[in-house]
Amino acid sequence: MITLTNVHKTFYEKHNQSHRVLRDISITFEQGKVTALLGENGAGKTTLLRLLSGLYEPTGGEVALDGVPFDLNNHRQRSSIGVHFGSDTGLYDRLTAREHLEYFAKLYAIPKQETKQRITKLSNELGMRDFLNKRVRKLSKGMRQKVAISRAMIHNPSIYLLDEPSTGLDITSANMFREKILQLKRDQQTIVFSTHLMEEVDMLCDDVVILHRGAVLYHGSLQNLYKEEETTDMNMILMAMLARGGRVT
Amino acid sequence: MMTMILKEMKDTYRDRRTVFFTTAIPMISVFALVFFFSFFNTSDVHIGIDENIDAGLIESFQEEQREHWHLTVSDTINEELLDGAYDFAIVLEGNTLTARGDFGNSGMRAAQQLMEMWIDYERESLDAWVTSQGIEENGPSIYEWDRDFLGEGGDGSMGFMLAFIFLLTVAAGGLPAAADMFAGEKEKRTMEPLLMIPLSRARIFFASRWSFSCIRS
Repeated sequence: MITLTNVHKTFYEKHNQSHRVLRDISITFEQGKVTALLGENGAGKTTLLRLLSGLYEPTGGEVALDGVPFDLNNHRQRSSIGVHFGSDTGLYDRLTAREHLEYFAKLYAIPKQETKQRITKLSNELGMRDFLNKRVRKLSKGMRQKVAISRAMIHNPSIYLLDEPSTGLDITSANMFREKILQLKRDQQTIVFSTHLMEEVDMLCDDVVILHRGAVLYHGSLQNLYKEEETTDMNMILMAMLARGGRVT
Repeated sequence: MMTMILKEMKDTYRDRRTVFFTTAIPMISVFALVFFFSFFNTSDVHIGIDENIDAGLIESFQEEQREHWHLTVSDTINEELLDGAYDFAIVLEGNTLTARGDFGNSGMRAAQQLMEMWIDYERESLDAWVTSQGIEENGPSIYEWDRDFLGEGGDGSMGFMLAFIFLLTVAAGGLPAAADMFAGEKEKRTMEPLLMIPLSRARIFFASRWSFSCIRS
């Protein structure tokens, strides 16, 4: 479980200019639930995910994991998080997909035999068997995305933070990925992901967080949102909420 | 830390272009440098010798001259030198032998060798004079210094020099790859997943720094 209490984040730029990206966020991401972060580009979804992962420190407020304030030096806390950083997959072009996974498994101190088993399992689940031994440079965007997602999962974390994970995936791969998310949910893992694909939200999520200009417009269960808005069309709901939230076109 | 260093080495040296630029180019440069210097060390040198110098010394110069030397003995050596007939000339002024001229690399070496011939000639002349004066052989010990290299490859200084230049150029050749490793981490966003692993940022930094050093060298 991750709890954010009155979190805000401000980036300071040149000439003493500041840019407030997140404002007074108080949310709890519960264990065993899948939460989608929704919002326009620049709403603060990626910044929120980075705050949750510990890559960014909040300018104010507190982030806590299972009630314990997040501490970068707490290796157990860091090991419990798996992060996928969006379309900038951050892979090494000259290593193969397998070498990537082996490298990170080694950094997480996973024994060799277990690493092998996990790579086989992940490659079956996400459809990576055909290109496991190919260098990343030669892979398509979707294939790279799968490698990056697998890298985030190789150490079996209990919290998954995924930034637009299904971007670039073909229909088959997207379905395999969704099946994997549902399986993680069944295993009582905490999953937070940002997306622009509303059918994915409908298919996977228990809760949604709708962000607008760094503030939370809605946080709650998907079913409640459907009830409140009297429709199950997420596109319609999102457009209506953003309009009510003071969207300037 | 070793895992990170090995990964960086693998990532850097898997690229054929990187290998070419960091290894092949420096090696080619070394051979080009050697060729360049050896060519200039053996290029023709025109040397003027003042006719007023002791005939024995002139004879010694002529006997021991190298293949690429062109010795000319003349009594108007200064004028000819100014006219550009010689690279340099050995001129007698009072009691002093002066090597005068516009020395290139070969000229410098030739002048050095001529000076060594003069030292040998002086010593032999002194020995002959001492003997002619009837000074007994058990006088003060005057030692000579000689070099006798057992190998066939010269004195080894060239080998040392080549190894030094090679290391230097390989290190310099590895610099772009090493720099790319550091700057590239930010550009390719490969640092972020690393920051998520349960290692202190100091250890990650030192592992990257070590990888940088290994690739450089």
